[in-house]
Amino acid sequence: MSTENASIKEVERLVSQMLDRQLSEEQATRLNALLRDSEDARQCYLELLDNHEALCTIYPGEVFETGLDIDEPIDDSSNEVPAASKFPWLPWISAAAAILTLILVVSLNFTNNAEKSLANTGTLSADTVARLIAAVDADWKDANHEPGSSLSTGEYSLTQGTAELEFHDGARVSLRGPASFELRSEGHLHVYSGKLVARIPEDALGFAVTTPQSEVVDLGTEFGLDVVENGRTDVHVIDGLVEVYERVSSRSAAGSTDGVQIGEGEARRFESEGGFRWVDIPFFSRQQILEDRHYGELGLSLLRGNVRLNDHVGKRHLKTTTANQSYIEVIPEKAATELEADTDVTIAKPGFYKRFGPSGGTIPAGTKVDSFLLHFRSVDGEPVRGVIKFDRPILGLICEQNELMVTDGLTGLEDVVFPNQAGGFRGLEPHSRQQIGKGSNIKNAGMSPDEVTLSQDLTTIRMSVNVVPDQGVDQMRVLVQSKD
Amino acid sequence: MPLPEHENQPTDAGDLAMEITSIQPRLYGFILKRIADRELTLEVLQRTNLVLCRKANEFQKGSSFTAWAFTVAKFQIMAWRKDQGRNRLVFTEDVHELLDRTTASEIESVDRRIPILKSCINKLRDEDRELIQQRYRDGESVETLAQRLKKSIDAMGMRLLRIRKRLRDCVQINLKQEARHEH
Repeated sequence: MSTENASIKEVERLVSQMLDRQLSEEQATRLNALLRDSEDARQCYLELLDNHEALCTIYPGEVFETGLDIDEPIDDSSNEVPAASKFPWLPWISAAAAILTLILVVSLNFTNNAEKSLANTGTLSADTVARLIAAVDADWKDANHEPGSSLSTGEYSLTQGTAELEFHDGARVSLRGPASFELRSEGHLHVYSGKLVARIPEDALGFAVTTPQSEVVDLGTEFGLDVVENGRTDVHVIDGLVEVYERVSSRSAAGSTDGVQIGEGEARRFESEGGFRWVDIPFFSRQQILEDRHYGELGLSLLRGNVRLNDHVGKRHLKTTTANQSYIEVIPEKAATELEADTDVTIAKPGFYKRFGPSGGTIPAGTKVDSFLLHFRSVDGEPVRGVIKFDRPILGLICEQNELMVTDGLTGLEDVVFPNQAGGFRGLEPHSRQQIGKGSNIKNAGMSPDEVTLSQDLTTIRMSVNVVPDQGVDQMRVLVQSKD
Repeated sequence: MPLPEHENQPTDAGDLAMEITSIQPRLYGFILKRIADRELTLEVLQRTNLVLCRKANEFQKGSSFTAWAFTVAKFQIMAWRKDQGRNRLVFTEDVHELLDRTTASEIESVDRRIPILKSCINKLRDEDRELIQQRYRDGESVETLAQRLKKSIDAMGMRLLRIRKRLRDCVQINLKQEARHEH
């Protein structure tokens, strides 16, 4: 056998392993070298890959089976995919990292607004400096920024709600509207007014927040700012140490250039008038600065995605399916309900789920629960994604039609019409294995089936839900251990 | 008089959504060729979908949707490569360039293969055809297949390798015959 022939055979083998996801790093390097060296090897590679593309077109199961890790055999007798063996990314922290790639919300928003926001956010253009990763009740002035979109340098105005940004250098900043700010670089945020909390990992050291009065240089930490337009800047150090300097532009000729260090649990107010002056003020926690007291009281926090809290649900509200933005509506239902009978739920154990049939578990009679209804809203056909965390254990997730109906009467709001006779289905799809990836209806022909991950410690839910308006109602009820 | 609802739509969103959905396998194949890793390919595919949706207004009706989508994908792959650390890239820049073809020739190459491949699949031995269907139609992993058929993962990989070669040979022969008929 000639060497040329031998290397073609090697390419064939490596390509097949690559297609079957069995290619090691060494083998990948080898494949690259073989393709570099020989035109015949490249022809062979392209031929096999063209065949693969054709095969995927004939049988698209391989393509639509997207998700985190779907290699685990799915046993039809249970909804649950065992969490321990193939899912080393649980517990949650690493799962959240995996979501980075999934959070790119596929948007089918064809309005001019989306075009404008694209121009502003330009998904991958060179001057993007941060990504919007979460939004709670957020509204923007003259723009519509969806979680998952990249943000370019420029000015932004958050009229209300909370938005969480992740800068490309790793810094994470939660801003509370009304806030007006400018992204100047991936290591520099300028705030005209508003409240924020910034968390800086070690490798983003040197991240700077400037305000009209001051320059806050972070020394590896978490801190909060409250900036009043043309007024003052309050700095609260939640963790670590920060240094505050007078702004160069406002520094008087005689002014000091020395920074002021503020330690953990301390807070200072910097005045704009009369030189670079400050006074000690009472320290505020993250929640106090961001004023997300309401969420704090409910015991839930948003880690990723777009969420709107609705605690004034009208009678027919749940029957309306239209939305001009994609978000997860969080509806607090009855609190401290003592279950009179054993209650069936769809999901009760940690794991990654993409099927939502009945009898995933039971909450025993006598348990006291707080109930939340998550209602997934979307413009045309786009998946809605998010990660929500509770401060107490989740006892069960209910996303199967009959189980939803049963619990409507137990823990659901009174005087609200639940969409049970909606003609379509209610809950999450698919309910059985046969519905996965066969493309039999528009919902399953979409990018992926609905997916839910419940974290190992039972406090966090990751969701990816395909919403097709007029084809049923996507809802999930969360029962958590009652605070009382 | 109020306009009928559809006349208010700037673009036929439903049609485009269907176009984008139906082109997913082609886009996946197109990106995979250049990235050689399934998970990373899905990542770039998602980004590409996002841009396709957002830029839908720029698509000129009557032109090839596939060509347009591939051009968008090509740009996304370039941008993605730029963003990555070297350790996530299978192909170095020189090999990446060597593998590049014109979009038109790539589309044509795959278009021609689809009908031929269908008949080639039908000519496979029953057990081989079933395996290909489980692997591609049902999207099952090699691990799952190995477990079910009580074979080692390596053995399963070898079987798939042999079937792929058989399909490749069958497609090659048929493409040559087609070419002869055309002349």
